[in-house]
Amino acid sequence: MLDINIIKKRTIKYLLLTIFVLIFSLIYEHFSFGVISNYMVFAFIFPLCGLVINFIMLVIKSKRVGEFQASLFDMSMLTFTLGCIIQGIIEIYGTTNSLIINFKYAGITLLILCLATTLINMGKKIKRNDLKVILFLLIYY
Amino acid sequence: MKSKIFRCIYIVGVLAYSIYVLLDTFVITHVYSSVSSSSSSSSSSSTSASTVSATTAVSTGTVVSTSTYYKDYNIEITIKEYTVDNTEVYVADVQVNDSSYLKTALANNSYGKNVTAYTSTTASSVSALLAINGDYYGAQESGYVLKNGVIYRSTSDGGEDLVIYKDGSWKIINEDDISCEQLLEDGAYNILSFGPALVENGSVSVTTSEEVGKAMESNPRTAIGIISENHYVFVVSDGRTDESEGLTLYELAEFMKGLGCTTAYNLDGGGSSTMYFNGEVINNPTTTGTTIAERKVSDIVYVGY
Repeated sequence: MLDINIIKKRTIKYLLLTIFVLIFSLIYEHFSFGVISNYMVFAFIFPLCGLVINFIMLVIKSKRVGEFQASLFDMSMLTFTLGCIIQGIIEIYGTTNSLIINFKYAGITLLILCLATTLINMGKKIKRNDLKVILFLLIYY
Repeated sequence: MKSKIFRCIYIVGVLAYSIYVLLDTFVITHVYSSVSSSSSSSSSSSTSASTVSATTAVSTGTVVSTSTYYKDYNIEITIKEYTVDNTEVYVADVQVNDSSYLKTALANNSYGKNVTAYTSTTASSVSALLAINGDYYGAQESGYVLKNGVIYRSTSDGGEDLVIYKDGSWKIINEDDISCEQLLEDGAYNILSFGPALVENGSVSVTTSEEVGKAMESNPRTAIGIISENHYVFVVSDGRTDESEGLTLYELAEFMKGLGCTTAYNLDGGGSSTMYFNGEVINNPTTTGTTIAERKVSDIVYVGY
């Protein structure tokens, strides 16, 4: 499991990455002769998600996320961010490439794996009574 | 430790894939078919055929040629320059006695992705008298590509196309409404797939806010229009420079209407916008605004034999 110091470092890394992607996008858009790509403009959203999630973990002092899950999450965010930037470059040039879809598939797969392994880890710690409550709530809704 | 190794391998892999996607988009050449220059013109509906170009000898009569004028027995071209909205606009007024003198040509005589050449190079290779850049079909993965009676791509992108028929008539169509094969059957000889239509039935057909893709600024532009039977205008505007601001689509449409066009269509612009006449590039093509240089494009529209 990640300790608080590691989460702190991860929060700072995500903050720097968000700023870097934002500045890169703004500079790229500045020189694109008025061609606006939402993919380029909003590419910073994914590192920002990482920043927010790590910040929340820091605030609530969460100890539920393992190193492997954190790696999966990082790789997912990296894939989405790169995919957005490349899609932005391609859109601004006015062209297309069907290969870009693989960034989306890879990013979603990694995110699902991250969530699934996190839930499995959490499930191991849930007591039998908690499972009954969860089951009841699921049936109820 | 294992997850760190896994992460490192993945990062290297995803970066390598990113570079590959960029190279595939902008650099790696894929030739799908070549245009034969020896066989006669064909009207077959093959989707990957490679037959074009009739090389019959045509009598040109006495030729008068200057830097702004060309006239022979079949073709008359007059180049004029206008200043519109702080922009230099080059207009080639073309009158021919047969619509077959209006043609298209592919860069390097080949159809494919990232198969490009300068407009002047392609124009020179087909001995064009006048040429402008075309629709840059190679930048897209869909949209009809029908050049000189041969279908090269028939997947629709739902865009607005200009169809030039063998009989010289022009029509604006939407790719979702009719198939490329049907257009060929109906007599289409060339399809230009960029857009949008600027003028239809003598009226401006774009709004003041309409733009190509996501471009929202004045830019260099290329357009083609028809005034009457066998009477065309090729228009190229400069832009992105201190001397020329560039035109918006609406400004270009108004200008085309002002020239008397009944139908006018927007072609690839920006750094691609190039006009070639009598062996020279006559406008100031630029991608960045700092350097005047041609950009390589997939195809051209030209007048010649």
